[in-house]
Amino acid sequence: MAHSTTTPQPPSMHAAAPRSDDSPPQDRLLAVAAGRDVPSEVHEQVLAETPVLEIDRFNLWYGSKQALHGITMPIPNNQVTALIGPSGCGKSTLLRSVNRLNDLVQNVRITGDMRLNGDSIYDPRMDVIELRKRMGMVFQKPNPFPMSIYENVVYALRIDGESNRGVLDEVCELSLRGAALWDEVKDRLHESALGLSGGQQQRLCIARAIAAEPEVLLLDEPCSALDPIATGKVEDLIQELRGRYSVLMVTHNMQQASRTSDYTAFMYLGRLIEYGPTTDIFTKPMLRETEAYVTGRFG
Amino acid sequence: MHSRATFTGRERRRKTDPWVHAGDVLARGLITIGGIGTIVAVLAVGFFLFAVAAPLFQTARIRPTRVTPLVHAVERPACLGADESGLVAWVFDPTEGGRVRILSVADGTPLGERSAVDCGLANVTAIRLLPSGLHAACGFADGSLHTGRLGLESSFVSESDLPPGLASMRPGDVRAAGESIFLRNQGGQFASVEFVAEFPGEPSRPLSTPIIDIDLALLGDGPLVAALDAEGRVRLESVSSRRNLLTDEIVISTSGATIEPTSDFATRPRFVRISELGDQLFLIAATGTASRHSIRSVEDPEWMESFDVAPGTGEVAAVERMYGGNAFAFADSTGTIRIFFATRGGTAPAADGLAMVAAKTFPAVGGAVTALSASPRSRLLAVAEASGGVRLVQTTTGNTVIETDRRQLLAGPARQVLIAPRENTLLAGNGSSLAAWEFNPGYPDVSLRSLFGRVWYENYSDPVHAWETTGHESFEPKFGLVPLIFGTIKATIYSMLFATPIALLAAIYSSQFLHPRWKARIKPTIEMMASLPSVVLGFVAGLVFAPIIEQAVMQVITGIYAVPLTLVAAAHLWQLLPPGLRSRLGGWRFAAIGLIALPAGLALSRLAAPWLEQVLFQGDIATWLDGRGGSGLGGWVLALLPLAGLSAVMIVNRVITPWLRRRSGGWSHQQTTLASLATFLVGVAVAVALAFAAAMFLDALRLDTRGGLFGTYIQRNALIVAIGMSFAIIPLVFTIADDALSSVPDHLRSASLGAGATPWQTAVRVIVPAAASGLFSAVMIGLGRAVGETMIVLMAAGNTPLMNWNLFNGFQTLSAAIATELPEAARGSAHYRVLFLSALVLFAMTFVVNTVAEIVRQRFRRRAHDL
Repeated sequence: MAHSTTTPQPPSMHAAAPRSDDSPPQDRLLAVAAGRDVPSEVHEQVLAETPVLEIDRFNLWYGSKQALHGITMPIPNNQVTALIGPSGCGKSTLLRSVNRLNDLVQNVRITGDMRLNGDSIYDPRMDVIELRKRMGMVFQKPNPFPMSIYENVVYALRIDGESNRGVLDEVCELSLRGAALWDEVKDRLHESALGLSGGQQQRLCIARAIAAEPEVLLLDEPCSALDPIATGKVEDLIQELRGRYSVLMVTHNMQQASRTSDYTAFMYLGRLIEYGPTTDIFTKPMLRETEAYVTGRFG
Repeated sequence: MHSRATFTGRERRRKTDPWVHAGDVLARGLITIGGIGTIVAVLAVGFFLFAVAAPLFQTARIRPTRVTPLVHAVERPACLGADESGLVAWVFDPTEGGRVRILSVADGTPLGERSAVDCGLANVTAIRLLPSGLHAACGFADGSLHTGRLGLESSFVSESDLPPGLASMRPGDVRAAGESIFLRNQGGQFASVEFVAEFPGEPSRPLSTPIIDIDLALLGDGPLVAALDAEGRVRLESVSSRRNLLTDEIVISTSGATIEPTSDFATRPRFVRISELGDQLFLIAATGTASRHSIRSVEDPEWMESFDVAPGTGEVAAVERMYGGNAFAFADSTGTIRIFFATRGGTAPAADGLAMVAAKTFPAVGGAVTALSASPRSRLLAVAEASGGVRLVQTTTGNTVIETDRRQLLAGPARQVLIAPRENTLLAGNGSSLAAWEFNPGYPDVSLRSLFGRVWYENYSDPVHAWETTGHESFEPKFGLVPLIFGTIKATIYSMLFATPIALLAAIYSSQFLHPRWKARIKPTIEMMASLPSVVLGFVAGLVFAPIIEQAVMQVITGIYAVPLTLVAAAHLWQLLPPGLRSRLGGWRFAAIGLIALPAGLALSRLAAPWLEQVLFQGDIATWLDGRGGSGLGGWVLALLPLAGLSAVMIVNRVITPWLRRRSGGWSHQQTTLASLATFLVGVAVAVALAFAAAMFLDALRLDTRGGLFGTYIQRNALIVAIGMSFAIIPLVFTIADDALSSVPDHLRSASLGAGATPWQTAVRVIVPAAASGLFSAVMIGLGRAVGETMIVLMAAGNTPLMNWNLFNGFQTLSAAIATELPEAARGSAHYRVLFLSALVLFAMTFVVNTVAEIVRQRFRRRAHDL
C-alpha cells in the first residue's frame, strides 16, 4: 500500500524526533501553499492496523479548483480516526467523498479511488444507495428530521421497508441506548425530535446513524455547534463507540481529537501532511509543521 | 481637542447626520401609513360591499297619511284606482246612479267628479282594472260586457307649460286647475293627470242576468274577457282587432264560448279568473271548490281539474291574480291566504300535464280577509282583514312585509285595497272612508331565507335553490345565492383536483430531481404562464379546447389515467438501461420524459380510448352520459380508479414489497428493477381489478354515477374549466411549492441521502414534510385564486346556475355572476344589491380560506421553525 504521494520525494522519516531548528518550521506548508507537492508522513502504526476503508490517491476538483490532492490513507477498523487541519483544508470534502455525497454537487470531478472493505466506492457499477446504506453520517449541525424521535431513529429501517413493530422498537431502544440518549427520551419517543436540545439532537443523529448498522461512521465536526456540556456528552459517546465502530471524524478542536481519537491525520490545503497515532501526533510528531499546528502556533 | 490615533488618517464623524434621522422618520412614517392604509383599504372594500348590500335587510317602512271620509254606503261594486305617482286616487261610488270621485291622496281634497253615465259605467255590476295601460272590463246588470280604458292617465309636463302659479308646487303637491289636475311627483317632475273612461263601440250582451265577476287578460291581438253571471254561466270572449293593410280599416272580430255551470259545483261559482297568458280559466265557488279549464282555444274550453282553494270550513272571500299572471291568491273567511299555481308533473296531473298546487299558505292574522290586491309591479299582495288591519305580504318569499297599525283605522274593515303603481302608496277603503299610507317596501323579494334557503317559485314543482335574475318584464326574480356558491365551490374543487397534483409533483420533480440546467429554463417558462391574462385562458378553454374535447371526451378521460401510468412505466424502463448508458444519458432524463414518455402516453390514450369506450360505455360515451342505455359499470370504474389505485399501492406495499424484500437479497440491479417493474404491473392490474369489482358491486346495487358525478355532456363544463384554470393555478402553486421545497435546508437532504435513502424516499419522507408549510400555502394561494377567478369560469363554465356535481355540466360562480350581471343591474335595485351581497359572500369566502390557510401555515411554521 502506498503511503506517500507519487511525486519523487526523499523517503519520509518514521518515528523521528522533530527536526532541528535550522530548517524553518513551516517549509512544507509553504511549499503546499506555493502549489508544490509534498510527501505525506504516515506512521507505521497506522499501516499495521486492519483497514476498513482505504483511500487511494484520491484527487477531487470543484470545477477547475483542486480541493484534494492525492490523498492516500487507510482508516483502521474499529478505531476512531480524527481529521484535523485549518479551515478549508479539505477535511469535510474528504469525509463527504467517502459516502459520495459530493455527487450531489455540480461540477465535481474525481480521480483515484476509495475502497470500503475491499469494494470500490467509485466503481461505476457501485450502487450509491447501497453504498450509503453501509455508512452512517453525522453532520456539523444537528439535523434531526421533522418527525418523532422514534421515527428519526428507525428512519434507515423505514426506508428499507421494515414495518415489523417489534424489530423497530428493539432497534430504536438499542440505538438510543448506544447513543446514551435512551434515559432522557424514553418517555417521549413519539414527540417531535425538534423539541430536543442541541446536544440531544446530535446524539439522536448518532443514534440514527448507528441504527443502520454502518461499517463506517462518518462524523463531520459533530460538536462544533454544541455547548461545552453537550460536547462533553458527545465526546463520551464517541469514546464508548470506539472498539465497536470504525469512526472517521472531522474536527476543528485539537483537544477533542486528542481526547477521543486513536489516530489523527493532519491535513493542509487539500493534502495529507501527517497521519499517525494520536498520542504521537500530539506529543512527538514527525514534522515541525504538525507540532506547530497542534500546539496552536498557527491555523 | 486632543487628536486621536487613527489608522486611516481621517476622523469619523460621531454624530449622525440629521438627514439620516429624517430619512429614518420618513421611512417609518411611510411604512406605517402604507401598512395601515392597506388594512383600511381592505376593510373599506368590505364595508362598502356591506353598505350597498345592507338595505336588502332593512325592514319596510310605512306611515299613515290620512283617512278621508267618503259618503257612499254600498260596498260593491266599488272601485279604487290611483295615478302613476300615487298622489291622486279615484273611487267609484255606485250610489245615486254612480259617480267617479277624484281626490288627493295626501289630504283628501276633492279634485273632480264624473257621473257614471258620462263614463259609460251606468248600472255596472263588475269592474276589472289592469293597471298597465288603464285597461278595464266592465260587466253590467243586464248581462252585457264592455272593454275599454278606465283610470287616471298621467303625462309629464315641462315647467314652462304649467298654468301660472303652479310652478311653485313642492314635490308631493297636487292642484286642480280648471278641468286638469297637476301634480309634482316625489322626483320633482311635473305631470298632469286626467281621468280617462273610454269604452269604444257598443257593449256585447252575451248573458242575460247580472254579471257578478269579470276578469280580463291582454293578449297580443286584443283583450280576452271572462264574465260570470248570477246564474253561474261563464262567458268567454276574445276581441281581436286587425288592421286591413289595404284600406287601413280596423276590423274587430269577436269570438267566444259560454261555459254552462257544471255539476262540480255544489254552489254556483262566485269568482272567475283567467291567467295572464289567456290559456287557463278558473271558476271558484264561495265554498272553495275551484275548477281549472284550458282555454287555449277560446271557442272550446276544456275542463282540466277541480281543486279546493279553501280546505276546511272557510268560505272564499277574495281571489287575486298575482303580478305575472301565473299565481293566484285565494283568501278565505278564516283569514288564511293560499297561493296556487300550476306545476308540471306532480302526483296526479290533469290532461294537460299540469296540476294546481297550494305552494304557500299565509296563516290568518286579523280574522277574515275582506279584500286582496296584487301590486302591479311585484309579487306584493295587500291583504285587508276583518279586524281592520291591512298587511302586505310577499308571495315569493312568503314574508309579511308590513302590517299597519290596527288601532288608527277606517271605521270597519276595508272593502278595497290598492297598491299604487310605484309601490309607494297603499290605499284602503270601505263605504265610509278611504285611508292612505305612504310606504317603502324595501326589498321584499329578498330575505336571508330566500337567499340561502329553498324557495317555492311559481310553476316549480318543489322548493328549489335558484338564481335567475333576468327574464321578461313580470317574471319572478330568483335571488338564491346557493347555486352561485355551489358553482364557486364546484369550480374550485374540480380545478384544484386537476391542478394541485400536477403542480405539486412538478415542484417536487423540479426541486429534487431536475438537472439545474433544465430547471433554469423550465421554471421561468412555467412562471411566465402565470402572466397569461385570464381572459385569454378563458377564451382558449371555452372556444378552442371545449369544442375539441367535446369530440374527444374518451381520449381525454383515458389520457388522465394513461399518461401518468406511461410516465411511471417509462421510469422503470429507464432503470433497465445499462448503468453506463444510464449515467451518460442522465442529463437527458427530462428530455426523454417530454419527447418519448409523454407522446407515448398520449398515443396510448388515443389507441386505448375506442377500445375502452366499447368496453365501458357500449361504444359511445355521449349516449351513455345522456343516460340512454348502458349500465352504471363504466362510470364507476372511471370514478373508482384513483381510489383503487391508492388501495393497490397499499396492498403492494404491505404484501408484495416485504415478500420481495425477503427474497431479493443479493439480486443485481437489473433483477431488482425487473422485479419492481413487475410489481408496478401487478399493482396496475390489482387497481383495475379492484375498480371493476367495486363497480360491479355498486352497479348490482343499481347505483349509477350518472346524475351524480357524471351526466349529460355539455360543451362548456367543469372539466374544461379545470383544464383552463390549471393554466392559471399550476404556475402559481408550482412556483411557491418549488421555492418551499428548494429552501428545505440541504443538511436534511444530506442526512437522508447519507442514511441510504433514495432521492424519491428523501423527497417524500423528509423534504415534503419539512416543506409542508410552504406547500400548504402554495395550495391555499392556488385555492384563493380558484375561488376568485372570474374570466376563465365566465367564458368556459357556460354560466348556468345549476346545482349538480356532474363533471361534464356547466355552472355559474359568484364572480362570473357579478361580472356578467352587475353592468346590467339597475342601480339600487334588489338585483344590484344582491350582486353586491354576493361580492360580500365571495369576499368572506376568500377571507375565510386565507385566514384558515394562514392559521394552519403558522402552525406548520412553528413546527418547522427549528430545522
